[in-house]
Amino acid sequence: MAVLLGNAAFLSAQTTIKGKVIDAKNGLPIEKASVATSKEKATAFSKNDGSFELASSFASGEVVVTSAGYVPYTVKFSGNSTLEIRLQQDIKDMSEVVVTALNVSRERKRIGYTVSEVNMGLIERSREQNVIEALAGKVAGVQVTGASGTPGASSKITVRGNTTFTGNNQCLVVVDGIPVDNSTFQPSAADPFVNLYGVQESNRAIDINPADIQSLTVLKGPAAASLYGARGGNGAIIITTKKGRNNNGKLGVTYSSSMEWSKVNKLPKLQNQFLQGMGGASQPIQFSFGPKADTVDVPTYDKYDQFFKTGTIFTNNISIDGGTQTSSFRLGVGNSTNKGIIPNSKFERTNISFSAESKLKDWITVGASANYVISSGTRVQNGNGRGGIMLTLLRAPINYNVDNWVDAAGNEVKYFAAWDNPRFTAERNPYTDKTNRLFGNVYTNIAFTKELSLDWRVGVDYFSTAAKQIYDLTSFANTSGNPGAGQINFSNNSNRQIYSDVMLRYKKQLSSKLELNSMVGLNVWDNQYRFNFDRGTNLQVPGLYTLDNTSLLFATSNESYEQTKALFAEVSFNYNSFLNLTVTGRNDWTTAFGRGGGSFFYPKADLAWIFSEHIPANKILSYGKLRLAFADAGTGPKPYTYDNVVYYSRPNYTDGSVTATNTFPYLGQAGFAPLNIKYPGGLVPAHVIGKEIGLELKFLGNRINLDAVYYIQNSKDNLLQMPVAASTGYNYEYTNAGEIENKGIEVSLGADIIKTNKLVWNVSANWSKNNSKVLSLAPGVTQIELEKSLGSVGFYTMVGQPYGVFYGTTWKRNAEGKLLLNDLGQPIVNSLKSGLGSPNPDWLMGISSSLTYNNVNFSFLFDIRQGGLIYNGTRASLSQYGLTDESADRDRTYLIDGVYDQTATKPGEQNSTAVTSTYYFQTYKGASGATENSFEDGSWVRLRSVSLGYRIDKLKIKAISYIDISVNGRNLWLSTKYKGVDPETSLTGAGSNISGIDWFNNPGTKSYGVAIKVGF
Amino acid sequence: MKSFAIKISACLITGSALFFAGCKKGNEYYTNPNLPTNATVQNLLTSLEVSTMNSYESDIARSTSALVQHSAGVDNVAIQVNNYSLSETQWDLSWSQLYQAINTGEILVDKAANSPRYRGIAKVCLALNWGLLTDIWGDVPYTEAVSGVRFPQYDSQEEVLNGIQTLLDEAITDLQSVNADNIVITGADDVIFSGDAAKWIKTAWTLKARYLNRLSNKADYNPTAILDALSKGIIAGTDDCMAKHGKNGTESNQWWAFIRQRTTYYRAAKPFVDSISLRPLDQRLGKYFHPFNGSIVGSPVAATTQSASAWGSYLIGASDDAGTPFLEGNAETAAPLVTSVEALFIAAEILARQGNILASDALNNAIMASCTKVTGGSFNGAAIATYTPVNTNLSRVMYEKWIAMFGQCEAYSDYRRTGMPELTPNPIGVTAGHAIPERFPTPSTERTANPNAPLPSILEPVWWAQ
Repeated sequence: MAVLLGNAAFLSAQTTIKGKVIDAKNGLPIEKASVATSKEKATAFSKNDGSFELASSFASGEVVVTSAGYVPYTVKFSGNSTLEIRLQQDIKDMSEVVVTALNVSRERKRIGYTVSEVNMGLIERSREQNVIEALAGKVAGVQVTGASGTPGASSKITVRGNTTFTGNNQCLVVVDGIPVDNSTFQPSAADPFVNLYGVQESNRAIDINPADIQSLTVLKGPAAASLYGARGGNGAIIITTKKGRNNNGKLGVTYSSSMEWSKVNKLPKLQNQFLQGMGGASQPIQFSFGPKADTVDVPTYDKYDQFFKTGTIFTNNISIDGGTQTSSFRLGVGNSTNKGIIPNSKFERTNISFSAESKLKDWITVGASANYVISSGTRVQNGNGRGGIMLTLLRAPINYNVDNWVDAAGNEVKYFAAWDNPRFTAERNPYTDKTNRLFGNVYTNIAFTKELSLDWRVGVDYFSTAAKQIYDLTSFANTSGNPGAGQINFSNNSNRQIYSDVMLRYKKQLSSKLELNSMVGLNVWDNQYRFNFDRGTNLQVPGLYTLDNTSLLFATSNESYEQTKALFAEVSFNYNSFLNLTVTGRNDWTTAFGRGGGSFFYPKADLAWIFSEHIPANKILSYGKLRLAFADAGTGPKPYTYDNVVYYSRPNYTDGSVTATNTFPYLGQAGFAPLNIKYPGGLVPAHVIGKEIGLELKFLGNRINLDAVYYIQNSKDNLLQMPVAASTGYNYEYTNAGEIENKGIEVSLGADIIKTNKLVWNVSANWSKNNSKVLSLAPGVTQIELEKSLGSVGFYTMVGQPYGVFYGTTWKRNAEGKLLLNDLGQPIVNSLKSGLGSPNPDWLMGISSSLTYNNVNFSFLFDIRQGGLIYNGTRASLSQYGLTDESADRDRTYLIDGVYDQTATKPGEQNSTAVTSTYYFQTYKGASGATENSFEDGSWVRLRSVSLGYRIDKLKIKAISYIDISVNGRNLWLSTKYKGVDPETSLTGAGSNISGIDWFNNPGTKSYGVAIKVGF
Repeated sequence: MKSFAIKISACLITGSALFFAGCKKGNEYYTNPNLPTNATVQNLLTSLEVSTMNSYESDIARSTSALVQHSAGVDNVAIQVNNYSLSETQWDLSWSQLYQAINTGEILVDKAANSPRYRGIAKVCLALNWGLLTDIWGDVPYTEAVSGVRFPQYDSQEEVLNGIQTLLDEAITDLQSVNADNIVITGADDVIFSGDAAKWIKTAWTLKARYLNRLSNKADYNPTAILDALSKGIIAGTDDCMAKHGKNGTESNQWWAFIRQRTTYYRAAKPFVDSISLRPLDQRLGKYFHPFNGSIVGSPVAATTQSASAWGSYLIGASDDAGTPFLEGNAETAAPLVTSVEALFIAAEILARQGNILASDALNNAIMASCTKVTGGSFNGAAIATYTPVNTNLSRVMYEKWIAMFGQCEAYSDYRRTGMPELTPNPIGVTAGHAIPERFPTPSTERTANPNAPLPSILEPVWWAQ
């Protein structure tokens, strides 16, 4: 804890040893290196400039200098000395070694596939609560989409595009070797279209405390993640948590605290001139086509200003760690509390993490880590519900006082009978949830000989989420039965995964030039999932929110079990340190393939060739490596889908307009009908076949590095719930069908522009482009609906198109593309819907830079997304209700550019019939016009994060070794043509394959804050 | 040390191997713990009936109500229907639900091999589902539908109607079975008639009459057979086949559920309100619609307004809340499926076509039955049932039936078959010549998944309307 730990102050003869510890390779100072005399074990630690000072009672002797990641170094001293100690980086160190699939650490230069390490400094400075959101803009080929800026909202991550049609397209998240759940769960009573309304849930990786993360690598594509077999097809994020450091038995304490204030960053522009009503007359209806405000004596309000608040995030983390040469531990406690910009919205997470490792003997190491997390929140209603915050707020007329939300009797005050007041929703219809989660693992490593070793690891990930939704009396947002009657939903979902692998490794120097590394292993993965949902309708006593206080009860449950066992092996040959070939294979047996069902095999091969070894040493190219990889990873079927079987279910009968569906019990009777999904059986695993070629180059003594990859990934035999003709009696068939191709380029560039002792300036950039194309669907099928979406815009996949295209109505046009109009001068909607473009971006780019001068650091990250359409249904709907800014120009008629249709009296002639402004905004520009009107470019350039930090390390208080102070900004600047909220938005969140739909989505935020970190 | 290491490792490896090989797994890993692979005839019957009732009072019923100007669509998708902009995706769920009911019905028929009454009710329900399908879409997949064929061929409407007659004939035979023939006897699981086979037989005969009467423009039209069927069908209002509902939230009348939730979508249509209002004594108006600002007001068909009356107690139930523009209503209100009123109008139509002198009596009877039913007996209709042989003709019969069939898809079929009453199409309708659609567009779900799906214009009349 003290910088100087010298002893024997009472000894008269004392030798002072001073010096500096630096990295032999780059000359940078090494902090916290342990400097100890060999005889009396007097120890000092180097400061952050590498300097140390040590007192010894001996006049001469040896000092041993150790530091994590460096080869220990012993040097003699004699008398008072000043030593410059240059430590050689240990080849197995973090910078040269990356954690790959199954937690295997491998030398980076031997890897033939694509692994990206994420700079933890950037993660820390992003100040994101959600580790997934923190990756935005930082890794080539990784697309992160946050659903909104509300507390705890989910973030979705895809690596190299989408590999399945209707399955999970997000990558696997692995913490300390154990895959953890990152699902986004929306509890529902099997009501249809649940994603389109309700609250924004979290993706469960939000339970991971970013402050506990030591390193994070992204395994891109099936080649990198093929050892995860059936779950490796989408790539993986490998997180290693912080472990105790060897402080020679002394405790280290780190405390950090940050405060952040957030504001809504972008909102649709609305008209502020016209009041509620129709045809210029005041009426208590949902439209704002009423009289002009300045002609009537009624107050008007700025509802944005009234409604949105300043959000706050307070984060506190403290950790204690310590260790000796043989044992170490770390205990971390953290809390992060985010109060949102929407009243009463909140997300809070408390983490307790503990890890310990001990080298019991030379040949055996055991360790364990455990994380306990409580995540809780009060969520924000989103999207299409009649209690959707943005739906009811944005549609409110300017003469409505949003703050006047409740009357003296406690009943809601509405501006229109069918919609709730957003404040009422925020105050009286809370959706609260709490997740208790435990994940961790125990492991051991046994070295029998230098060649032969064994790794064994068992982990568990268990969580249980309890949620409660209240729809208070007089709210019209309740989903069942009688609007206004009050409703309570209780749900509980729990998920438990047990994961274990055991690996036997054998390493042998076959000859002086040829090294063999091999491994065989077993893996078991067991998943159990349970869900209960209870609903009570018709609240009796006001203010009491229990099921007992309702007159109608409804319950449903669901559970699922799956176990996968796998046998895997890897053989790797390294020739003369420049050529490395690794071949792996994994065979999976899963219960999802039925009793005695089939197994499937996933092969992979990768080759790394450091060609620069063959080039004479030069000053320009310092390192060059070529990578080649091939892999076949894949996905297995969902449980219970393999057999040819007819399932029966309690059906829900609805035409989609009514949430009070007809279901069972019905007049006291149970009902079952054949499930609308057909299971014909005979499934095979889906395959993701990836091929890639990569090039790594380093220039000017490794000052500039470049990594470029080209890949092709083909997802074949997709397992999907494929829509079939309803006349078959079924809506879907669970089957293998179709092929998606993803081709792409990823480029990362880093440069240390200035690198001196005082000034370090580096710049890095990443750029990626993924082109997806659907090569085939089922025979006879050229388009399928991927997921249920809004009535106005479907989300489809179509042969020959990229993955995921919008689908909707278009205007009738002539061959030249001119609108065809009827006699009223109005365009005509085509009877058939069609594809309307894709939300997929053309390319993604991140540019970051860090400038350090002495103790001052300045860094920023720009995040750029080019292309990708967004359906701005919000704007279309607001136009229909007379609220968009442009609809203020309504005291005139509009002449729509087009020619008369053949059904009109003057076919082919240029239109000369003007339409009323009401028609123009309500219908032509509105949600009931053709869907094609409502697409906008979703491109953006944003200053994702900016940070200015200062480190104080020469403190008078000896107990404190440093204090970091920083000011941070997040999303402070955003440039986009999109007219709605922040275009980083998702209606349906991370649990859905739909993207690019904005239907009253909650807004994003920008924030600024201060942070302090103290090391003791 | 080494030996110790080997011992530990041996234990670990053995342990892992056992864990790997063992890990006794229960059935829950292989057998779906959530969904059964079989269902009882009772469970299937209830779901089939509920599905059928739901289909007859959901989106198809609301939309046809707008097309025949009973209701005016005044908001959102209802406006689009009102303006004849029929989206190919709007009735995807309705179409699917009808075919899923047919799947349920066919499975039930198979499972009820030794319980003919279940078979019989299932076949009546199948006839109702096929009937709605072909009424709305004309030619539909029939012989290859629900048979395991991935892309079912479309069959002619004539063939579907023949199939309906066969189903109903078989149903009548099945329902006539005595208790001893039935291993399981229908009861409360039959939510429509609580197991009363005699009422189902009457319903089947009335349905035979309904679908035979569809052929009025066709060579096969057989009035004698229709009158014969009617004589065996529903005579008394107490035998009406009604969609039964309850209050527990899963049993709601769907007209009620819709207007409670989508308060702004539909209003009374002015032509309908004005027509009924021609006879101020007709008390059905106040039952069909709820007063708006104290009086029953219809929205014009073209310049629609929400400032008009919403549906009244006949469809969505009575309540004492007269203050709001929306009737509170009652979720358990029964809605008509096949009624004596319809039967009487079919008879009147035949007699009127024949020029029979009894047509006026038949029409008056039908009007009185309608008034009695709609008003719950408070108005027997005698005051307005004043037709005489002189002023009775097919046009008057169909006009009166149009008034009586409020809330039923029958009105739309009658209008397309006879062109009566002569409605004035919505002048801002987006179809060519603003014509009232003759059918619904081929559902998107079928178009995109079945290469055999035709794409007729929505102005092309279905076969029996040609």
